Amino acid sequence: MPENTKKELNIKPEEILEIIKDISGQDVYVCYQCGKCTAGCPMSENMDIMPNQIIRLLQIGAFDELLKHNTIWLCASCLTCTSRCPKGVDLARIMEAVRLLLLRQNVAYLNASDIPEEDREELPIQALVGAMRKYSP
Amino acid sequence: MKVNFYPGCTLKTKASNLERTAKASMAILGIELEEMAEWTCCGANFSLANDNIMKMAAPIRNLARAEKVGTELVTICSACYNVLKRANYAVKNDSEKLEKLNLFLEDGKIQDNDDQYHGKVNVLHLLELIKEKIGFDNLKKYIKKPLNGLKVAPYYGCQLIRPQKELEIEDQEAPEILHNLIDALGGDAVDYSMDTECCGSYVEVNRPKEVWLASYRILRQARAAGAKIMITSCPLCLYNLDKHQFDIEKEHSDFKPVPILYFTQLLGLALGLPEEELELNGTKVDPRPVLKESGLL
Repeated sequence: MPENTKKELNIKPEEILEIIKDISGQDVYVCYQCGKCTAGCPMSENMDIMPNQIIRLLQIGAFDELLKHNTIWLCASCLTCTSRCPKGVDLARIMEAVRLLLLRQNVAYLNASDIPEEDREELPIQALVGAMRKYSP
Repeated sequence: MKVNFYPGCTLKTKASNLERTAKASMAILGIELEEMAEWTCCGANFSLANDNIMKMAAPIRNLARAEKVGTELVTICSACYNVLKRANYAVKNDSEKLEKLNLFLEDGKIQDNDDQYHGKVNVLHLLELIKEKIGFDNLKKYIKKPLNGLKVAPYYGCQLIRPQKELEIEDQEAPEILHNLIDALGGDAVDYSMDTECCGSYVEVNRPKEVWLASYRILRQARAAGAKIMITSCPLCLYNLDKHQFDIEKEHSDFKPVPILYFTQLLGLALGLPEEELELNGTKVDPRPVLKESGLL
Protein backbone atom coordinates (compact mmCIF):
# COMPACT_ATOMS: atom_id res chain seq x y z
CA MET A 1 0.00 0.00 0.00
CA PRO A 2 1.44 3.39 -0.90
CA GLU A 3 2.25 5.48 2.14
CA ASN A 4 0.18 8.42 0.99
CA THR A 5 -3.11 6.56 0.72
CA LYS A 6 -2.97 5.72 4.43
CA LYS A 7 -4.17 9.23 5.22
CA GLU A 8 -7.58 9.13 6.81
CA LEU A 9 -10.41 9.78 4.41
CA ASN A 10 -13.03 12.32 5.27
CA ILE A 11 -15.87 10.19 3.88
CA LYS A 12 -18.46 8.14 5.74
CA PRO A 13 -18.29 4.42 4.79
CA GLU A 14 -22.00 4.38 3.84
CA GLU A 15 -21.39 7.20 1.34
CA ILE A 16 -18.60 5.48 -0.55
CA LEU A 17 -20.70 3.44 -2.98
CA GLU A 18 -22.88 6.45 -3.68
CA ILE A 19 -19.81 8.51 -4.60
CA ILE A 20 -18.37 5.70 -6.75
CA LYS A 21 -21.70 5.50 -8.58
CA ASP A 22 -21.83 9.28 -9.12
CA ILE A 23 -18.31 9.40 -10.54
CA SER A 24 -18.41 6.19 -12.59
CA GLY A 25 -22.07 5.89 -13.54
CA GLN A 26 -21.68 2.18 -12.71
CA ASP A 27 -23.63 -0.08 -10.36
CA VAL A 28 -21.17 -2.53 -8.77
CA TYR A 29 -23.98 -4.98 -7.94
CA VAL A 30 -24.46 -5.75 -11.63
CA CYS A 31 -21.19 -7.72 -11.55
CA TYR A 32 -21.58 -11.48 -11.00
CA GLN A 33 -17.87 -12.14 -10.47
CA CYS A 34 -17.13 -14.21 -13.56
CA GLY A 35 -13.55 -12.91 -13.66
CA LYS A 36 -13.36 -12.12 -17.36
CA CYS A 37 -11.95 -8.66 -16.53
CA THR A 38 -9.10 -10.26 -14.61
CA ALA A 39 -8.47 -12.87 -17.32
CA GLY A 40 -7.77 -10.21 -19.93
CA CYS A 41 -6.05 -7.60 -17.77
CA PRO A 42 -2.48 -6.93 -19.01
CA MET A 43 -1.36 -5.66 -15.60
CA SER A 44 -3.05 -8.30 -13.38
CA GLU A 45 0.16 -10.32 -13.08
CA ASN A 46 1.56 -7.60 -10.82
CA MET A 47 -1.59 -6.62 -8.97
CA ASP A 48 -1.83 -7.92 -5.43
CA ILE A 49 -5.58 -8.36 -5.70
CA MET A 50 -7.37 -8.94 -9.01
CA PRO A 51 -9.63 -6.47 -10.85
CA ASN A 52 -12.79 -8.50 -10.17
CA GLN A 53 -11.90 -8.46 -6.46
CA ILE A 54 -11.98 -4.66 -6.50
CA ILE A 55 -15.66 -4.90 -7.43
CA ARG A 56 -16.25 -7.65 -4.87
CA LEU A 57 -14.75 -5.55 -2.06
CA LEU A 58 -16.98 -2.64 -3.08
CA GLN A 59 -20.03 -4.93 -3.13
CA ILE A 60 -19.42 -6.03 0.46
CA GLY A 61 -18.44 -2.55 1.67
CA ALA A 62 -14.80 -3.41 2.42
CA PHE A 63 -13.33 -0.13 1.17
CA ASP A 64 -10.53 -0.03 3.76
CA GLU A 65 -9.39 -3.45 2.59
CA LEU A 66 -9.44 -2.28 -1.04
CA LEU A 67 -7.11 0.61 -0.22
CA LYS A 68 -4.44 -1.76 1.11
CA HIS A 69 -3.74 -2.97 -2.41
CA ASN A 70 -1.91 -1.57 -5.44
CA THR A 71 -4.52 -2.63 -8.02
CA ILE A 72 -6.12 0.75 -8.81
CA TRP A 73 -2.69 2.33 -9.34
CA LEU A 74 -1.52 -0.37 -11.74
CA CYS A 75 -4.63 -0.08 -13.91
CA ALA A 76 -3.52 1.45 -17.22
CA SER A 77 -7.07 2.41 -18.34
CA CYS A 78 -6.66 0.25 -21.45
CA LEU A 79 -10.38 -0.68 -21.43
CA THR A 80 -9.81 -4.37 -22.13
CA CYS A 81 -12.00 -5.29 -19.12
CA THR A 82 -14.64 -2.76 -20.14
CA SER A 83 -14.81 -4.02 -23.69
CA ARG A 84 -15.19 -7.67 -22.65
CA CYS A 85 -17.52 -7.59 -19.63
CA PRO A 86 -20.54 -9.82 -20.32
CA LYS A 87 -22.67 -7.70 -17.99
CA GLY A 88 -21.60 -4.38 -19.50
CA VAL A 89 -19.88 -3.17 -16.34
CA ASP A 90 -17.35 -0.45 -17.15
CA LEU A 91 -14.65 -1.48 -14.68
CA ALA A 92 -12.17 1.09 -16.03
CA ARG A 93 -14.62 3.78 -14.88
CA ILE A 94 -14.91 2.14 -11.45
CA MET A 95 -11.10 2.08 -11.12
CA GLU A 96 -11.04 5.76 -12.10
CA ALA A 97 -13.78 6.53 -9.56
CA VAL A 98 -11.81 4.94 -6.70
CA ARG A 99 -8.67 6.84 -7.74
CA LEU A 100 -10.63 10.09 -7.97
CA LEU A 101 -12.33 9.53 -4.62
CA LEU A 102 -8.83 9.58 -3.10
CA LEU A 103 -7.36 12.29 -5.33
CA ARG A 104 -10.28 14.63 -4.65
CA GLN A 105 -9.39 14.35 -0.96
CA ASN A 106 -6.06 15.83 -1.96
CA VAL A 107 -4.27 12.53 -1.52
CA ALA A 108 -1.65 12.45 -4.27
CA TYR A 109 -0.38 9.04 -5.32
CA LEU A 110 2.47 10.61 -7.27
CA ASN A 111 3.71 14.19 -7.43
CA ALA A 112 5.63 15.58 -10.38
CA SER A 113 8.57 16.12 -8.03
CA ASP A 114 8.62 12.37 -7.25
CA ILE A 115 9.60 11.61 -10.86
CA PRO A 116 13.39 11.48 -11.22
CA GLU A 117 14.74 14.30 -13.39
CA GLU A 118 16.36 11.86 -15.78
CA ASP A 119 12.98 10.19 -16.39
CA ARG A 120 11.29 13.57 -16.87
CA GLU A 121 13.76 14.31 -19.64
CA GLU A 122 13.34 10.98 -21.33
CA LEU A 123 9.63 10.14 -21.04
CA PRO A 124 7.25 11.26 -23.80
CA ILE A 125 5.14 14.26 -22.69
CA GLN A 126 2.10 12.08 -23.29
CA ALA A 127 3.21 9.76 -20.44
CA LEU A 128 3.89 12.61 -18.01
CA VAL A 129 0.60 14.41 -18.66
CA GLY A 130 -1.29 11.11 -18.54
CA ALA A 131 0.32 10.01 -15.27
CA MET A 132 -0.30 13.35 -13.57
CA ARG A 133 -3.96 13.15 -14.58
CA LYS A 134 -4.29 9.67 -13.09
CA TYR A 135 -2.06 10.01 -10.02
CA SER A 136 -2.30 13.56 -8.70
CA PRO A 137 -5.21 15.77 -7.53
CA MET B 1 -5.35 18.08 -51.23
CA LYS B 2 -4.94 19.80 -47.85
CA VAL B 3 -6.26 18.32 -44.63
CA ASN B 4 -6.50 19.99 -41.23
CA PHE B 5 -3.99 18.33 -38.93
CA TYR B 6 -3.74 18.17 -35.13
CA PRO B 7 -0.19 17.15 -34.09
CA GLY B 8 -0.47 17.10 -30.26
CA CYS B 9 2.25 17.65 -27.67
CA THR B 10 4.34 14.51 -28.13
CA LEU B 11 4.73 14.94 -31.90
CA LYS B 12 6.32 18.31 -31.23
CA THR B 13 8.85 16.87 -28.79
CA LYS B 14 9.92 13.22 -28.40
CA ALA B 15 8.03 11.95 -31.43
CA SER B 16 8.93 14.70 -33.89
CA ASN B 17 10.14 11.99 -36.28
CA LEU B 18 6.58 10.64 -36.35
CA GLU B 19 5.30 14.02 -37.52
CA ARG B 20 8.06 14.57 -40.08
CA THR B 21 7.84 11.10 -41.62
CA ALA B 22 4.04 11.38 -41.75
CA LYS B 23 4.19 14.73 -43.53
CA ALA B 24 6.86 13.60 -45.99
CA SER B 25 5.04 10.34 -46.78
CA MET B 26 1.67 12.02 -47.21
CA ALA B 27 3.22 14.63 -49.50
CA ILE B 28 4.26 11.80 -51.85
CA LEU B 29 0.63 10.61 -51.75
CA GLY B 30 -0.56 14.11 -52.68
CA ILE B 31 -1.96 15.05 -49.28
CA GLU B 32 -0.69 18.02 -47.32
CA LEU B 33 -1.09 17.79 -43.54
CA GLU B 34 -1.70 21.41 -42.63
CA GLU B 35 -1.22 22.10 -38.93
CA MET B 36 -4.33 23.67 -37.39
CA ALA B 37 -4.01 27.08 -35.79
CA GLU B 38 -3.80 27.61 -32.02
CA TRP B 39 -4.08 24.00 -30.93
CA THR B 40 -3.39 22.99 -27.33
CA CYS B 41 -2.59 19.63 -25.68
CA CYS B 42 -5.66 17.36 -25.62
CA GLY B 43 -4.96 16.09 -22.09
CA ALA B 44 -3.23 12.85 -23.10
CA ASN B 45 -5.87 10.55 -21.67
CA PHE B 46 -9.64 10.63 -21.69
CA SER B 47 -11.15 11.22 -18.26
CA LEU B 48 -13.37 8.35 -17.18
CA ALA B 49 -15.28 10.47 -14.63
CA ASN B 50 -18.97 10.90 -15.40
CA ASP B 51 -19.57 13.71 -12.96
CA ASN B 52 -16.99 16.21 -14.16
CA ILE B 53 -16.59 17.36 -17.73
CA MET B 54 -13.81 19.90 -17.17
CA LYS B 55 -11.21 17.58 -18.64
CA MET B 56 -13.14 17.67 -21.91
CA ALA B 57 -12.62 21.42 -22.22
CA ALA B 58 -9.21 21.02 -23.90
CA PRO B 59 -10.27 18.56 -26.62
CA ILE B 60 -13.53 20.44 -27.30
CA ARG B 61 -11.71 23.77 -27.55
CA ASN B 62 -9.44 22.17 -30.14
CA LEU B 63 -12.44 20.82 -32.05
CA ALA B 64 -14.11 24.25 -31.93
CA ARG B 65 -11.00 25.79 -33.52
CA ALA B 66 -10.79 22.99 -36.09
CA GLU B 67 -14.46 23.51 -36.97
CA LYS B 68 -13.67 27.01 -38.27
CA VAL B 69 -11.52 25.44 -40.99
CA GLY B 70 -13.61 22.45 -41.95
CA THR B 71 -15.35 19.27 -40.91
CA GLU B 72 -12.31 17.00 -40.81
CA LEU B 73 -9.48 16.84 -38.34
CA VAL B 74 -6.66 14.36 -38.83
CA THR B 75 -4.40 13.19 -36.03
CA ILE B 76 -1.68 10.54 -35.73
CA CYS B 77 -0.86 9.94 -32.06
CA SER B 78 -3.14 7.17 -30.77
CA ALA B 79 -3.78 9.04 -27.51
CA CYS B 80 -4.76 12.29 -29.26
CA TYR B 81 -7.05 10.29 -31.49
CA ASN B 82 -8.66 8.58 -28.50
CA VAL B 83 -9.17 11.78 -26.49
CA LEU B 84 -10.42 13.96 -29.36
CA LYS B 85 -12.73 11.30 -30.73
CA ARG B 86 -14.19 10.27 -27.36
CA ALA B 87 -14.81 13.88 -26.32
CA ASN B 88 -16.42 14.48 -29.70
CA TYR B 89 -18.63 11.41 -29.25
CA ALA B 90 -19.62 12.56 -25.76
CA VAL B 91 -20.80 16.02 -26.81
CA LYS B 92 -22.42 14.85 -30.05
CA ASN B 93 -24.59 12.49 -28.01
CA ASP B 94 -25.30 14.79 -25.06
CA SER B 95 -26.40 18.33 -25.87
CA GLU B 96 -26.31 19.34 -22.20
CA LYS B 97 -22.60 18.51 -22.01
CA LEU B 98 -21.96 20.47 -25.20
CA GLU B 99 -23.86 23.47 -23.89
CA LYS B 100 -21.97 23.46 -20.58
CA LEU B 101 -18.62 23.22 -22.31
CA ASN B 102 -19.54 26.01 -24.71
CA LEU B 103 -20.49 28.25 -21.78
CA PHE B 104 -17.09 27.54 -20.28
CA LEU B 105 -15.29 28.24 -23.56
CA GLU B 106 -17.29 31.47 -23.94
CA ASP B 107 -16.06 32.63 -20.51
CA GLY B 108 -12.47 31.95 -21.42
CA LYS B 109 -12.49 33.55 -24.83
CA ILE B 110 -9.75 35.93 -25.74
CA GLN B 111 -11.05 39.09 -27.47
CA ASP B 112 -13.06 38.09 -30.51
CA ASN B 113 -11.71 34.57 -30.58
CA ASP B 114 -15.01 32.69 -30.57
CA ASP B 115 -14.51 29.10 -29.43
CA GLN B 116 -18.04 27.69 -29.64
CA TYR B 117 -18.28 24.13 -30.87
CA HIS B 118 -21.24 22.91 -32.93
CA GLY B 119 -20.42 19.21 -33.12
CA LYS B 120 -19.57 19.20 -36.82
CA VAL B 121 -16.01 17.89 -36.84
CA ASN B 122 -15.15 14.33 -37.77
CA VAL B 123 -11.91 13.14 -36.15
CA LEU B 124 -9.86 10.85 -38.36
CA HIS B 125 -6.71 8.88 -37.68
CA LEU B 126 -4.05 9.14 -40.40
CA LEU B 127 -4.51 5.41 -41.03
CA GLU B 128 -8.21 6.03 -41.74
CA LEU B 129 -7.30 8.90 -44.04
CA ILE B 130 -4.97 6.62 -46.03
CA LYS B 131 -7.62 3.90 -46.15
CA GLU B 132 -10.45 6.22 -47.18
CA LYS B 133 -8.76 8.86 -49.35
CA ILE B 134 -6.04 6.75 -51.00
CA GLY B 135 -7.16 3.16 -50.47
CA PHE B 136 -4.74 0.32 -49.71
CA ASP B 137 -4.98 -1.12 -53.23
CA ASN B 138 -4.30 2.25 -54.78
CA LEU B 139 -1.43 2.84 -52.34
CA LYS B 140 0.48 0.00 -54.03
CA LYS B 141 0.88 2.21 -57.14
CA TYR B 142 3.06 4.64 -55.18
CA ILE B 143 5.43 2.01 -53.81
CA LYS B 144 9.03 2.49 -54.98
CA LYS B 145 10.67 0.01 -52.64
CA PRO B 146 8.38 -2.93 -51.78
CA LEU B 147 9.20 -4.51 -48.42
CA ASN B 148 10.19 -7.88 -49.97
CA GLY B 149 7.91 -9.87 -47.69
CA LEU B 150 9.52 -8.43 -44.53
CA LYS B 151 7.73 -9.93 -41.55
CA VAL B 152 6.24 -7.01 -39.63
CA ALA B 153 4.22 -7.24 -36.42
CA PRO B 154 1.40 -4.68 -36.38
CA TYR B 155 0.94 -3.36 -32.85
CA TYR B 156 -2.34 -1.58 -32.18
CA GLY B 157 -2.26 -1.18 -28.40
CA CYS B 158 -5.34 0.21 -26.71
CA GLN B 159 -5.87 3.90 -27.45
CA LEU B 160 -6.25 3.45 -31.19
CA ILE B 161 -9.03 0.86 -31.04
CA ARG B 162 -10.89 0.93 -27.72
CA PRO B 163 -13.72 1.58 -27.08
CA GLN B 164 -14.97 0.34 -30.44
CA LYS B 165 -18.46 1.81 -30.00
CA GLU B 166 -17.03 5.33 -29.86
CA LEU B 167 -13.95 5.11 -32.09
CA GLU B 168 -15.44 2.85 -34.78
CA ILE B 169 -12.07 2.56 -36.51
CA GLU B 170 -11.77 -1.21 -36.29
CA ASP B 171 -12.95 -4.39 -34.59
CA GLN B 172 -11.39 -4.02 -31.13
CA GLU B 173 -10.59 -7.74 -30.85
CA ALA B 174 -9.39 -8.30 -34.42
CA PRO B 175 -8.27 -5.04 -36.03
CA GLU B 176 -6.88 -5.12 -39.56
CA ILE B 177 -5.92 -1.61 -40.61
CA LEU B 178 -2.19 -1.91 -39.80
CA HIS B 179 -2.16 -5.44 -41.27
CA ASN B 180 -3.62 -4.01 -44.47
CA LEU B 181 -1.04 -1.24 -44.57
CA ILE B 182 1.86 -3.67 -44.14
CA ASP B 183 0.53 -5.95 -46.87
CA ALA B 184 0.03 -2.98 -49.22
CA LEU B 185 3.69 -1.98 -48.69
CA GLY B 186 4.79 -5.43 -49.80
CA GLY B 187 5.49 -6.72 -46.31
CA ASP B 188 4.08 -9.75 -44.55
CA ALA B 189 1.84 -8.80 -41.61
CA VAL B 190 2.44 -11.25 -38.81
CA ASP B 191 -0.54 -12.55 -36.82
CA TYR B 192 0.10 -12.85 -33.10
CA SER B 193 -2.20 -12.85 -30.13
CA MET B 194 -0.89 -9.74 -28.36
CA ASP B 195 -1.42 -7.07 -31.02
CA THR B 196 -4.17 -5.33 -29.01
CA GLU B 197 -2.67 -5.97 -25.55
CA CYS B 198 -1.88 -2.77 -23.64
CA CYS B 199 1.84 -1.99 -23.16
CA GLY B 200 1.29 -0.52 -19.69
CA SER B 201 0.85 3.09 -20.83
CA TYR B 202 1.41 5.84 -18.23
CA VAL B 203 2.10 3.26 -15.49
CA GLU B 204 5.67 3.47 -16.88
CA VAL B 205 6.11 6.79 -15.06
CA ASN B 206 5.73 5.18 -11.67
CA ARG B 207 6.18 1.42 -12.02
CA PRO B 208 8.52 0.71 -14.97
CA LYS B 209 9.24 -2.87 -13.93
CA GLU B 210 5.58 -3.83 -14.30
CA VAL B 211 5.46 -2.22 -17.74
CA TRP B 212 8.61 -4.09 -18.72
CA LEU B 213 6.85 -7.39 -18.02
CA ALA B 214 3.87 -6.37 -20.15
CA SER B 215 6.26 -5.38 -22.97
CA TYR B 216 8.13 -8.66 -22.68
CA ARG B 217 4.95 -10.69 -23.19
CA ILE B 218 4.00 -8.69 -26.29
CA LEU B 219 7.46 -8.76 -27.88
CA ARG B 220 8.01 -12.45 -27.15
CA GLN B 221 4.74 -13.34 -28.88
CA ALA B 222 5.57 -11.21 -31.91
CA ARG B 223 9.00 -12.83 -32.17
CA ALA B 224 7.55 -16.32 -31.81
CA ALA B 225 5.25 -15.54 -34.74
CA GLY B 226 8.31 -14.66 -36.83
CA ALA B 227 8.27 -10.86 -36.68
CA LYS B 228 11.53 -9.10 -37.59
CA ILE B 229 10.21 -5.65 -36.81
CA MET B 230 7.15 -4.04 -35.19
CA ILE B 231 5.15 -0.92 -36.09
CA THR B 232 2.85 1.30 -34.04
CA SER B 233 1.16 4.71 -34.19
CA CYS B 234 1.53 5.57 -30.51
CA PRO B 235 4.63 7.38 -29.16
CA LEU B 236 4.11 5.94 -25.67
CA CYS B 237 3.75 2.37 -26.97
CA LEU B 238 6.95 2.86 -28.97
CA TYR B 239 8.76 4.19 -25.91
CA ASN B 240 7.55 1.47 -23.52
CA LEU B 241 8.12 -1.42 -25.91
CA ASP B 242 11.55 -0.20 -26.99
CA LYS B 243 12.98 1.03 -23.73
CA HIS B 244 13.38 -2.15 -21.69
CA GLN B 245 14.43 -4.63 -24.34
CA PHE B 246 18.07 -4.85 -23.30
CA ASP B 247 17.01 -5.38 -19.66
CA ILE B 248 14.66 -8.13 -20.81
CA GLU B 249 17.50 -9.69 -22.81
CA LYS B 250 19.68 -9.79 -19.69
CA GLU B 251 17.04 -11.69 -17.74
CA HIS B 252 15.83 -13.93 -20.54
CA SER B 253 18.70 -15.31 -22.59
CA ASP B 254 16.33 -16.67 -25.26
CA PHE B 255 14.89 -13.20 -25.95
CA LYS B 256 15.95 -11.40 -29.11
CA PRO B 257 15.18 -7.66 -29.31
CA VAL B 258 12.55 -6.50 -31.80
CA PRO B 259 13.11 -3.09 -33.41
CA ILE B 260 10.06 -0.81 -33.38
CA LEU B 261 9.16 1.86 -35.89
CA TYR B 262 6.32 4.27 -36.39
CA PHE B 263 4.09 3.07 -39.22
CA THR B 264 4.94 6.30 -41.04
CA GLN B 265 8.65 5.35 -41.13
CA LEU B 266 7.86 2.03 -42.79
CA LEU B 267 5.44 3.79 -45.14
CA GLY B 268 8.11 6.38 -46.02
CA LEU B 269 10.67 3.65 -46.63
CA ALA B 270 8.38 1.87 -49.08
CA LEU B 271 7.48 5.17 -50.76
CA GLY B 272 11.17 5.76 -51.42
CA LEU B 273 12.05 8.48 -48.89
CA PRO B 274 15.83 8.73 -48.50
CA GLU B 275 17.27 7.03 -45.42
CA GLU B 276 18.13 10.28 -43.62
CA GLU B 277 14.52 11.43 -43.84
CA LEU B 278 13.29 8.23 -42.20
CA GLU B 279 15.08 9.14 -38.95
CA LEU B 280 15.73 5.54 -37.99
CA ASN B 281 17.98 6.43 -35.06
CA GLY B 282 15.35 7.29 -32.43
CA THR B 283 15.07 3.98 -30.61
CA LYS B 284 17.36 1.91 -28.39
CA VAL B 285 16.92 -1.15 -30.60
CA ASP B 286 18.36 -0.10 -33.95
CA PRO B 287 16.08 -1.11 -36.85
CA ARG B 288 18.77 -0.55 -39.52
CA PRO B 289 20.51 -3.96 -39.35
CA VAL B 290 17.21 -5.80 -39.98
CA LEU B 291 16.30 -3.43 -42.82
CA LYS B 292 19.77 -3.82 -44.38
CA GLU B 293 19.55 -7.61 -44.08
CA SER B 294 16.28 -7.47 -45.98
CA GLY B 295 17.84 -5.35 -48.72
CA LEU B 296 15.76 -2.30 -47.85
CA LEU B 297 18.56 0.13 -46.96
